[in-house]
Amino acid sequence: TGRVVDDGNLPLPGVTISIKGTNLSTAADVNGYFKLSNVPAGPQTLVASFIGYKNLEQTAEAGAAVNLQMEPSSLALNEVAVIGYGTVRKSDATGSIGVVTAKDFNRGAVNSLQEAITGKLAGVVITSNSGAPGNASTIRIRGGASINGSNDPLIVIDNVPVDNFLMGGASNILATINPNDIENITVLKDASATAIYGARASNGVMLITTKRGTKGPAQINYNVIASLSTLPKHVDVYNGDEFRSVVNKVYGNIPAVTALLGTENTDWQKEIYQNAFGQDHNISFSGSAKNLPYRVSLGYNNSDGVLKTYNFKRTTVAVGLDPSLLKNHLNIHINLKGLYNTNNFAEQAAIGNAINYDPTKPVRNGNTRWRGYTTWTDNGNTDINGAPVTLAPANPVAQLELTDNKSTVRRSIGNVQLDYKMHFLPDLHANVNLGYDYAQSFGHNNARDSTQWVYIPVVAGGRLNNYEENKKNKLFDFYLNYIKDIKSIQSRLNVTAGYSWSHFYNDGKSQSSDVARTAPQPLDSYITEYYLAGFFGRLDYSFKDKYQLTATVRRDGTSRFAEDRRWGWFPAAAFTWRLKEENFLKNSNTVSDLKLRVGYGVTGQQDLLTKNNYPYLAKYTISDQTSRYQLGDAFYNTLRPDGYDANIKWETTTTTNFGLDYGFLNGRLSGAVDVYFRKSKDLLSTVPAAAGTNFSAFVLTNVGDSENKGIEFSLNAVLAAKKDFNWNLGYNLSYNRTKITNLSLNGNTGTILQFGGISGTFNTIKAHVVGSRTGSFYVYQQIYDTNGKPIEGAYADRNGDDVINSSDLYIYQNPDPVIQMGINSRASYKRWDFSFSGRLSLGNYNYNNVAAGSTYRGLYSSLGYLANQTKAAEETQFTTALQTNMSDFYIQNASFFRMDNINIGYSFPDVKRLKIRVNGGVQNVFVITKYKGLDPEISGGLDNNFFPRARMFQLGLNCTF
Amino acid sequence: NVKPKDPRIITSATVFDKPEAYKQFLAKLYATLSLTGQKGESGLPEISAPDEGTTAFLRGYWALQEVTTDECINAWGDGGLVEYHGHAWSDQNSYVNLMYQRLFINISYCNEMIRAVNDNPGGLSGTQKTEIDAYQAEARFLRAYFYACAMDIFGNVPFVTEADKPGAFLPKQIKRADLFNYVESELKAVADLLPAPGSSEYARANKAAAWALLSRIYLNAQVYTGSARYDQAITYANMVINSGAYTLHDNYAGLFLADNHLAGDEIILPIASSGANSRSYGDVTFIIHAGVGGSMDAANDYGIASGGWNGNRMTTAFVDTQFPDPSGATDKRAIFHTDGQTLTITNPTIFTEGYLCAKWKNVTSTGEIGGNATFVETDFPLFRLAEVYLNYAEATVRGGAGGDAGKALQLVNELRARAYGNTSGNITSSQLTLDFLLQEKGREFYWEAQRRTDLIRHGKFTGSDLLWDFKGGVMAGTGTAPHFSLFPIPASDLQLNNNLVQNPGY
Amino acid sequence: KKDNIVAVIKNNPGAPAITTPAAASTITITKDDMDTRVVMRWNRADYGAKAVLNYTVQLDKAGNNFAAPVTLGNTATDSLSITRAGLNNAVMTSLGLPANAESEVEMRVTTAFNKDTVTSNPVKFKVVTYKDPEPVRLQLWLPGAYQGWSPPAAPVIYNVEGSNYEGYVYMATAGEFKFTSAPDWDHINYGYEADGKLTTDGLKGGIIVPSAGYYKFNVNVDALTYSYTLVESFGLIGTATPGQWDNSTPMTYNATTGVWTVTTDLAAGALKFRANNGWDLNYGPAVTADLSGRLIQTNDAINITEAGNYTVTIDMRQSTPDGYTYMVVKN
Ligand SMILES: [Ca+2]
Ligand SMILES: [Ca+2]
Repeated sequence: TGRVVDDGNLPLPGVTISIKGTNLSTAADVNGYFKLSNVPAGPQTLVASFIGYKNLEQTAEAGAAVNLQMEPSSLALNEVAVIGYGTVRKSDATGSIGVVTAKDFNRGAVNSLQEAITGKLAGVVITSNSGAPGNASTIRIRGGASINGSNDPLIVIDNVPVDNFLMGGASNILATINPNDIENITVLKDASATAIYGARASNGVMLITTKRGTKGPAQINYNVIASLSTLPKHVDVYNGDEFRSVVNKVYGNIPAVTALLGTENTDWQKEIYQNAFGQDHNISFSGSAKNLPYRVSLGYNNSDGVLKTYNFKRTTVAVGLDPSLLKNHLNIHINLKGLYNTNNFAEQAAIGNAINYDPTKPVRNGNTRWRGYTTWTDNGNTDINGAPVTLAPANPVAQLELTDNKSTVRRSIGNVQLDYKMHFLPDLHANVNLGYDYAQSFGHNNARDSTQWVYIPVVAGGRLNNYEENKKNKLFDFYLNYIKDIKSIQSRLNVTAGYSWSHFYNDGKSQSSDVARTAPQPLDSYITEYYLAGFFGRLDYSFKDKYQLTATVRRDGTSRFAEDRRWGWFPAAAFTWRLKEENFLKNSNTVSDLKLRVGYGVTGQQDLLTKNNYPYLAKYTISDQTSRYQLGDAFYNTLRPDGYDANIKWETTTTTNFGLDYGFLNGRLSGAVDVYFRKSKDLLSTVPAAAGTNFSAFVLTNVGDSENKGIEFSLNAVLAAKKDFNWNLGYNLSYNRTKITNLSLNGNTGTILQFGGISGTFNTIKAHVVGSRTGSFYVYQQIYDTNGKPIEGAYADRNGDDVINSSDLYIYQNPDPVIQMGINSRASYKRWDFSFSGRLSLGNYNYNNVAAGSTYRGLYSSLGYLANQTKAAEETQFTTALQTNMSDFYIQNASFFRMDNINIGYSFPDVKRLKIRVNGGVQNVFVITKYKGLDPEISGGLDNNFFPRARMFQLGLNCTF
Repeated sequence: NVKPKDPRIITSATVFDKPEAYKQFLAKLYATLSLTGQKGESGLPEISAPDEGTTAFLRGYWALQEVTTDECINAWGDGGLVEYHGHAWSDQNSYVNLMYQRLFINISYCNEMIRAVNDNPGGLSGTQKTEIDAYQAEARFLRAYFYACAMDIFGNVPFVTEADKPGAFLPKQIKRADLFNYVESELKAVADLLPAPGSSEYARANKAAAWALLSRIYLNAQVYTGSARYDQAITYANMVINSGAYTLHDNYAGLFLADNHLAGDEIILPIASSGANSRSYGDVTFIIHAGVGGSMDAANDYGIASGGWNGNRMTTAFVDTQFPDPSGATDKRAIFHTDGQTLTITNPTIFTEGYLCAKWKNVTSTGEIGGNATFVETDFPLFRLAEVYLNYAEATVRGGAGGDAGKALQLVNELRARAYGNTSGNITSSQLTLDFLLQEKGREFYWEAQRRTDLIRHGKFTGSDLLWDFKGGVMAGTGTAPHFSLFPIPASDLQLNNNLVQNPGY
Repeated sequence: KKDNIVAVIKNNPGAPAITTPAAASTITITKDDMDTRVVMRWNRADYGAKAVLNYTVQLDKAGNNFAAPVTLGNTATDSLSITRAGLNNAVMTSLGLPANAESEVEMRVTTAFNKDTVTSNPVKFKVVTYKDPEPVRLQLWLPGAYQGWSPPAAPVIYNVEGSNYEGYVYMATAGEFKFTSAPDWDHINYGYEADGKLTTDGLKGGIIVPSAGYYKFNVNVDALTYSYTLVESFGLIGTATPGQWDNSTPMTYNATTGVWTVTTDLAAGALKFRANNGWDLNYGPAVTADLSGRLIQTNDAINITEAGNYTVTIDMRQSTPDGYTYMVVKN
């Protein structure tokens, strides 16, 4: 038995393995495993052969597990592409696919998988949503097409599509996976590749493959990393002395204001941030128990946040078993992943309050009513034990220390995949995959009583809040795969047809009350579910290894739509032409690979990002106990008809992709260029219903179209390949733009969908507008004086009606980058290795809400408190005008270059089987930007008291034996 | 097919299998006057907004009727409200949009209720049938009320009735005058079906509510239709007065307190509030919180320990004109908080400028504080007898047939006698002028969401006949353009519905 | 510096320029066009950015260099319309220029934005103002034996409505008197025709009052009727007075000053005035809260809020446009 892999440790299905001098032979299954029976005892020579690879001969004892690593015969044919419901040779792959294998992961990205591949792939933008350990990230493949549908890619782990919906208390699906367990990640980008996933593929697909056990001696790997996180930068606010002076300058003639000043110099940011330690341990055992290849791994991560009290703990276990039965006709793959994660989320409102809390006040002032923490009290703050000013900033230290916000997440993902090679027709495989993804999270977000910032339902009564959420997703896939080399006509055929069924179930509940439980809020609970089912087929046809044609079709049904709208067709086709195989290039050493790809496909979208999985049903909702109404002497739970669209249907995206894969100088330079054009129509959008026609003001329906176009370029260069010195450089570039082309049912172009709330009841900063990029900023145009200083409250009267009102808002810039580049490099010299990776993002703008909230006017509130401001207030010196935060002045260019990590390692000489490598590195090394806020990289571009990304110093040790 | 598992979600197929569902639906129709959704103050709204409280009918209507006038100026600097007070709103104004959405959602619910009763009465007993037929009449009354508001605020609006099933159609626009006829005929029809004055359950409409509304729209008919109907304004005011079911509550201040459900002698139809059962940031909770701040003792004097919002207060012009003695010693309706406040407003965002309105409180007439620190008990009088009195007086002064000048004077003097505590405030017939009546309406009804309509009827809303601080955006006040007497159809609906034509000036 | 600074104001903003009224033009205001509007127009100031500006339009006497200008209005647009009545008033009342005459004025338009104020060149034009002739308050003079038959020195009563005249006159002696339409004998003089009836025949005799005293006279010059009532006393009545609503507290007539007065203690409560301790002639305040003001026939009473010793005065001579007046002063 054994397994065949390529030089990148990817399985090579379809490889013929025979024993020299016998007529025993077999073919490797989709995961590269093979098994030969009735092998004569004693050492035998195995011969592995496969198109595009050099024949490999290896001697082994009969019955021993063998690992065969084949080398490509030419660079271009060397990889297998995981494409969903099977694999193909990369040479046969027709779509736009990007792969990152474990060895290319960003070193030291221990907290989450997404950090491991940030910047590695053209067209894939990953933005961590905060600097908290185990934080969520926003992943966009070629931008997002949807307005209100999901823009998240489909994530498939070991053939189980997983739900990427954030759970209450859980930080992120990808953060729940141990990066050390991952073998590689394949990203399917264009529709010809993704259409096999039909309904869920509009935003691309990430296929994650975990490491497997191999035949051979058992191997133990232990990896430990210790880290220290520091905060690279604080928000520049007034210190106590400066604050006293600016308050006196602005309010010097009002004693009621200046009397509020204290005498301290408290650096509140210093009070809430810390240098944080983290540790990450992984141990894995892999090998083969008798004939059962296995891999078991355990991971433990414990990281503190730079925000005090924040903590993330993750324990993971992964088991992979790959038994073969029935004389290798039945290959079984069993995966079991478990996660136990606890979080202490801290009260993150402390971040904003550390900026705004009066620096002239001490952390504690000895009061007895507010647990000693300095608290704004009414009547001019004269009595430290007075009633609270409930709308004043809360003492951030008190918020951290008096909040108990913990969650526990348990999750298990598992599947059993049976691949049966027909006895009567070995070219035909039947594949059954049964999977599940169960998750549970529960936690509480409590605050002690006698705290000023929690006042509902009982003033200063504290808060008890408990919540729980369960997800139970089940999967059943079945497909037949037929692979045939028809040598007579120099053709190869790979046909797949199958059926997929999945069920998604989600329930949850939460309840809050004050600490004394005098006024409990009603229980908040929900149960929801939906089903997806699909039939799919794929035909790969390859002629002379020069021309490949792939055609796929999928028919998907979702329970989220009405019966007559439920099913959608998602066809795709792609064609490639391997120019390299043509005579004029065949013998060229300069051009080692050249392949042209053309693809076209349609994909669907039905992920609504809400818990309402019945948007087509006419429903009624009964109210809870706090929204009853009095008629006579009784209170009645009210019954409301809900808004719905009986005709809601699939959002579809049509993608056309042109690609060129290239390799020069015997593969020392290689890469790809892709140009794509996507049109999405029937966008699932929550838009206003025509007044009087529905039971909610906004209704989720299919309105609007968008266009998305882009270019991707990638280059891998082997700069040196010597015995003692290797040096690789990777570079990628992507350009992407999404424009809204329609937003209304009747073609009116004036529709504006505003969103992106900032401070103030109705101030929103972004909008979807026809003809503009999705989610652009929608602001007033600031007028500046001749020195370039913004004139307070002066905006351009853009429509010339001599009044400044909401009709003068205009589209200005966009949070999404126009151009992204990634650069990474790896070098090794003798036993030393060195790597770095970084990213450049151009054309992305942020709304600097922290600066917009900072004015002289904000120094004092008539509620009777002072509030510190950032030094941005000094720049504008706005004192009275309203809505200065709606000015385009605060839309700032946030283009940046970030050095994501630098790592250096040393591998000790092997001691018998013991290999030891030590390494040290820095994550988030530096950022170069003109942006004035704390960090330019904000998903969605709304920079409002962001949990700052830490700079992390790491030391690691890796032992294998 | 997947049936929802959540027991709180009910499909239309089975919802009315239980007859009590009809009353729960009826409760929803009334609840749309002040609540925002199915989950307390936030969570399951029917209209989405950054702050769910702003989607409530009463909050939106109150702001639109008060912040645009001399009765109220807001300190938050919120763009939408600054545009309100300065008469500078556009068809993009969020508050306008929410008001519009709220009116038509509520109308849709009424239509659905009317259909539900028409379609689905099978299997009901005789008494149940009578009962739900009565609900239908109330649904028609509420729909007429919402349409009357739409007529007042927007003029020409989309028109949908129970004949229009929900779905993707584009409603036709009805002319203001035609809508008047529709509202008039509906109210007359339901007035026959509703219970007798004073005989309905608390917070449910009876005949007197329909008559009071008829009287109100007839008084404003000149504005709505171009022709005066003062005689009918008198007729329906008389029907309320002569029903004998209502008298003036002895204590003016008691009409606005946490136990004002005890003021049913005067209040014809309230919007009910309850801190424990009906939580909303858009009912009287809003009126009280938004008006409390400065040196007011929020917890003890206003019953809201969670604190005021330092937003709304009176304009200087209003206090000066209506209440030369703002202390309340002469006219007890001058219920202001002046401690720590300046009368003059030089900067609208400084809450300590301008007198505060202390009329609304979450405290009972015996001084007890409402049960919830945030959500108040105080009901909102949607119709009360005093308005009917003033309708009668004004229609009579305006020459309505059937009006008796002596009776008009007597009704006004009854209000003044209550306000002064004696007859010293009584006026003579020569003083009973239109200008006096507008001022008297202000004194009696300030902060009760009537002012904008009143000023328009008197020709003093736009233009420069009546100025108040920061009208038109300048401190002294300046004349404003006449088109602001109607609000614009929100741009978002104009873009959706090709049948709609924008009001002039926008 | 920011990279999106596009709306920047200029260093030297351009001033507005008045286009209407044209220089040297004339605006003539007449009685009938008071409600029509005059529109002032100008070209907008140029700050280089589309800011909303607030223009102030000022007017002053030509040559006065805007030393004492009157502001006609403020606007964000490029025109200002005011009624001719408003312009007329500004020219006559605010600038003090003569009525019913042509005067030269000059106008300028000013605006300010971010510390930069710009002002248009002034434009001189002429305004012909209009003023109604002074309304004449119609009176009748009461020359008689009691004052030596001298019309110019005679007390008067005033027109109240239509052809009705009313007023109080103190006659120090009994005897004959006449009503004259002017303070001379050259116009109409009304004599005695019969009791209650007048004649315009100047040769007829006068009306005779039987005794000296304080009289109220009513005359209708169309119907040629007259009546008089002898007021023996005015008095205070009401809950503020010792006699409550039952008995008047008498006031005293001072023939020198011509007013009725009394000093007495008053309680908090209502205060009214009546003649002859009866209700035929009774007067109350126009505004109940006011301690001085007009007396009218009303059901209202003055609201005395504080008890104390007061001097109360009424003046029934109608010598001011307020007519009958009262004054309550706490001592
Ligand atoms: Ca404008
Ligand atoms: Ca209540």
